Amino acid sequence: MIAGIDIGSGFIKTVILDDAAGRDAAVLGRGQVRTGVDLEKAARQALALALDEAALPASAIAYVATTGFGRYSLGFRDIQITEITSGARGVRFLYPGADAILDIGGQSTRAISLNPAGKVAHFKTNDKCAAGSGSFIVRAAKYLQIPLEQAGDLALQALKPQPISSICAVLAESEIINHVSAGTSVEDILCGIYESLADRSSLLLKRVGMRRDLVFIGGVARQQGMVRALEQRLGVRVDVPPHAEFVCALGAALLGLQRRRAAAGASMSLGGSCIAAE
Amino acid sequence: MADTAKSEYRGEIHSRQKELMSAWYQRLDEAARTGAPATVELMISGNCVELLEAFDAVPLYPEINALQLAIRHQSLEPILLAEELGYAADNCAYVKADIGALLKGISPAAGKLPKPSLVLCNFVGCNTYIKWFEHAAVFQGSPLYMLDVPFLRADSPSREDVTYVVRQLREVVKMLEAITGRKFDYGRFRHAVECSRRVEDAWSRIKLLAQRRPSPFDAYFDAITLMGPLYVYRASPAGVEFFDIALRELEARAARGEGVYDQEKFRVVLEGPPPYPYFRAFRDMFAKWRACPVASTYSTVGGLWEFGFRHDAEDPFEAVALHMLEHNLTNRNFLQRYAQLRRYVEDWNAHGLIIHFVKSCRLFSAGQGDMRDYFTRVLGVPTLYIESDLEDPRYFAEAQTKNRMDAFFEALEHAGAHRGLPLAVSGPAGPHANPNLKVIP
Repeated sequence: MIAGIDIGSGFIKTVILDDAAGRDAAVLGRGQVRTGVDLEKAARQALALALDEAALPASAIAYVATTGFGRYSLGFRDIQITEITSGARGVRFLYPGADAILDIGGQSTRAISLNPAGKVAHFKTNDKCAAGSGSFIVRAAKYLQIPLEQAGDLALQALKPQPISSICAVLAESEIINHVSAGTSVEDILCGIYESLADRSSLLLKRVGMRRDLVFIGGVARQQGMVRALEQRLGVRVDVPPHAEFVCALGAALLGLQRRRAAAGASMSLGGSCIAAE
Repeated sequence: MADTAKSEYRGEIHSRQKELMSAWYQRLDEAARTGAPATVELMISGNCVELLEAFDAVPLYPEINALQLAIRHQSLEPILLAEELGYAADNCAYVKADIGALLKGISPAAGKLPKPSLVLCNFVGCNTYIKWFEHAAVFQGSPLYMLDVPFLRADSPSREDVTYVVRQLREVVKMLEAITGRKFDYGRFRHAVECSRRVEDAWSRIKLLAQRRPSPFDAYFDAITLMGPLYVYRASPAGVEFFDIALRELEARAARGEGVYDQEKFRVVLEGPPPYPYFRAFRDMFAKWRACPVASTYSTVGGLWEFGFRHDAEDPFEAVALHMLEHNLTNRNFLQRYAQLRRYVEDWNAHGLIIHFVKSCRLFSAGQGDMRDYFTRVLGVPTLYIESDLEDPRYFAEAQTKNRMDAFFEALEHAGAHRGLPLAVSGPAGPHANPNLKVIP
């Protein structure tokens, strides 16, 4: 079995992949825990949860591939891969025709385009600022005193979305305070926040040359308000896989499987590429 | 796990470089203590160190001092002081580090830095230097000469441009005569220019060595080691001796088939200066992938010689003027910068281009987004674009930068670049190619 572990800034996500299933590699278990400050301990907990779900012992894991910002931090890894490469591989596995990906996590936003062979052609990530990422929604939900899980659905009930124009997360909070003071509804404020995030995401996606429909992954992809804002802003269909936050872990596991097979002498597919990265 | 690799070669080059640079700082310290020799503060880009050599005056480059502070993690304190004084957050961080260090009395070396005998602002391509050197002159109480070098608007400077700069150089000679109390020695000036020619020959041959596989020379990180002597000693016999040694040593490595990395995996071209506050961390990001910088534009800020230009002792004033006007990176227009990079990618057989955008240098970094688009969309060259700063540590995000570097090299690896699979590099310019783009002759 192959374990793919995505050590993100908010959560660690783990996927157990059946390495005997070939192209139809099957996910046997998933586990997710908060990242915290002890990355290795949290990663072992996430792995234990995934193993429980798969009803497998720890000894069944033959290869560990890590991804995410903490990918170098696990002493028991066999390979580490960036979340850009692993996200691309995970999406292409789930959507063989996909050519554009948006991945929004706790601190990062990544736009990726793929070439016809499924390799990363272009990518662009946010810089130090987290205004376009999940933590912005977390802070907004906290200020508006609503459970984070309800934020996306509440935004769908907006009647008059209020724009959030600031490019800085901290200053955007000031704008939210102004809207609250002016008596704007929580639904309208939330919808404005998602539209602001969609605007930022669309800039990244245009820079990587998005051509048609989009696959949206990462924790924020679970929020319907964000999905609708993206569809309206981009005018394309936005696909969200059932376990959107586990896609990078899945991709890491698939790449780990590929590496393991390559080491055993099996051939690897390669594709031409013109890479633009930012 | 990706392989780790040895990233550095240590040879006589490095020990001799250290000796030379220490001797330079000792001379500056001597000038600070005794008032002699004469010192001239000037800008690296298009520097006219040959004129100084003719008077035995010592150059004082604020950029070298600033980057030394950054490498030693001492740049933030003077930057913050300059910001307290009113220098804007987005002002050139070199300026802030230099002015802050000046006012705090911070020296990057063991000794002191002198009050310059002359502040010579040869503002080649960078208007910020006008205010920087004006401030430096005021704060230090030194005389200022503003040497106006017209920006290169066409492929080559006009005859009027050359004459204009030569006339100013002759005015600088008068000032140096007054400052040093020496009569200008034309023969000594010609000798200095001839030394420069010999150094430029050796330096160019070193750069061409990087066209070999594996490259015996890192044309970015190791080039920086050589750039100190290049700017301080170019016009002197000590410079000639140093570069002869460096060339012999690197040619011997090439003859033995030794590369920067035991098994060179990727070859990249670099645009922009390094993030000096995180120099080691940045270098390690290349070493981890055994990615060798085979050419860089940064190594041409002080002079662009690998394509043929040499100082000519037959007409030394005009040679210095042409160097200032045309043959250094910062005075060239954007299309010439494109052409230079394209030639590097093609002639040095690079797998990709890495652009480092310097946030506090709007003048030089502006337009690099278009540069990236040109190389990826028109030429099909894999390109990575990263942002931080050359001096201000607050702009460097190590985790994000490392992530982008890793993802870029992963993408090259998956595309089979290191196995020689085609990456559309070196192909003919596409239908959107700018018809004005010309390869530097």
